[in-house]
Amino acid sequence: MNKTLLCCCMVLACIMFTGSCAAKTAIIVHPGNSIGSDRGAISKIFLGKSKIFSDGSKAVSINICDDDPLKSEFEKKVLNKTNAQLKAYWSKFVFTGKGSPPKVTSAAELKLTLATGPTFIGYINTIDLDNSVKNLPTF
Amino acid sequence: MTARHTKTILLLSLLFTAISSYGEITYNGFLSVGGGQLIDDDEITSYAGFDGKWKSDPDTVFALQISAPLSDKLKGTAQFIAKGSDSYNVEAEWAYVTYNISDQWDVRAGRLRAPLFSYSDFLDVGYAYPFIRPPTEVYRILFTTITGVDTLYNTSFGNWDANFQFYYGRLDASTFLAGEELFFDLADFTGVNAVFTYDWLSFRATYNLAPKLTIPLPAAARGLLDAIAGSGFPTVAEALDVVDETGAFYGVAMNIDLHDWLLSVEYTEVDFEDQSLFSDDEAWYFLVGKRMGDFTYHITYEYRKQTPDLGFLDGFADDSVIALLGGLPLKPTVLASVRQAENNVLTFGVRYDFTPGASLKVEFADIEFENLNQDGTLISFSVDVVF
Repeated sequence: MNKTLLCCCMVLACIMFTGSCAAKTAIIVHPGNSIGSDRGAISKIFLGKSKIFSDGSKAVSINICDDDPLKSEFEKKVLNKTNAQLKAYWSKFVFTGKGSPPKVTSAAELKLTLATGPTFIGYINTIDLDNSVKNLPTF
Repeated sequence: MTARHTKTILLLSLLFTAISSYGEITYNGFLSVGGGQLIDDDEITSYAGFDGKWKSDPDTVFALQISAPLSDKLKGTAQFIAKGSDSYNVEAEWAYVTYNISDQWDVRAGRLRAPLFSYSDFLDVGYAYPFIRPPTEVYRILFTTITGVDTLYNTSFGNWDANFQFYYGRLDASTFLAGEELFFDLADFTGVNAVFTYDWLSFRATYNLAPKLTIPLPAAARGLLDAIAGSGFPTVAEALDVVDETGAFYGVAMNIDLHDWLLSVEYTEVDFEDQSLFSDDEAWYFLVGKRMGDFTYHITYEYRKQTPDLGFLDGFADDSVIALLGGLPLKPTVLASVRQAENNVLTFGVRYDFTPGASLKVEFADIEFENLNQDGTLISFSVDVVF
């Protein structure tokens, strides 16, 4: 019984702490990319289930570092999964060579990569948005 | 680790390092440290590698995977694994090259794992599943690493993703039985596997065929068969011998992960064309789980039944005896020698994701060997990490 109580307290504590640091996430692509902002389609690209955008062109997703609060917000809202669930998800593919998680980069590097062509998709903090990238309004 | 293995590993490592100039080498790994004990071992004395004394080896595993692009279409991957259940010998369970024909189509060649089960691909990666080890009664075929080729094809139908896998290869492995090392050699081992996934729901079906299953028997079993043959029942001995048997394995599975509820069901069957010392075998399990924050609770029920078909004894009188074994009754002796079991296991478990990439699991399993009227309880834990 005590254990159940302890579990409940820990879960509650988690909810309280994560609620207090909401970051604003913007999904971004190259300004020349004309894809729509369908959450399902974007989620498939980030989960490695799809390697193309809705218009049929090649899609490569780029992630940001584990410790960035943007990442957990993106994972929760767009991919609908916790960090632990995603780690377990990718471990099912990595150790069979059937897939690998998106490459990781910093927000500044991400904008530079995106500028090179319409293949890439990533996400940054809304305050970092500028004309070099296009924001897909999903949330 | 034998000299041959050391050499293979060194060569592969050197090969990958030498050709690394093409692209970035990636290293991934996983490890599990486990422990467990049968707490009432007066009836069932060993299970899943555990016994009445606290043991760590059965669920302890270390693995490192190296992956290197060899060209824009070709990639080399090798996974070195040391298992406590195999005295921590380092084995390359996976070592293959992948040729990427298109975004949808891959061909792999080398050492691969036959996809008999839902979790075959990541059998040893404890972090990938909710339980400490995949259900023992169902995941009963221990040797599934083949040397051969396979092809993977991915496509989608509307909101459904489909993955098809076809493989062909040869399985050779050795195991210790009754203190003797036995070598398995299955040529022309082949199979197909299809997985259909819709967001939170997935279905899977597999069919595998081993057309030339021959197993040299341990001395005790060989002695028994020789005695049966020498006592005037050569056809019985012949039937029991495992020579050129044809075995088929099939399975279906369903997985649901919706609103933090988990449901997994997997049904599998082993069918032999003829009865030998091996019997037809069916096994299934279901898991119901609930994710609550960083904790995942689950209840898993597994069931396995082996059904011997003793039709080859029909022509003999019930009071036939094996003269060369001091007049042992034929039929009961044969029945006792062939594989038969009716087992069920009920497990309660919890997984705690205490930090990204690492989880702690604790399980309590009630084991019952119905046909032997034996019970046992296994408590175990594991810490699973991926990196």
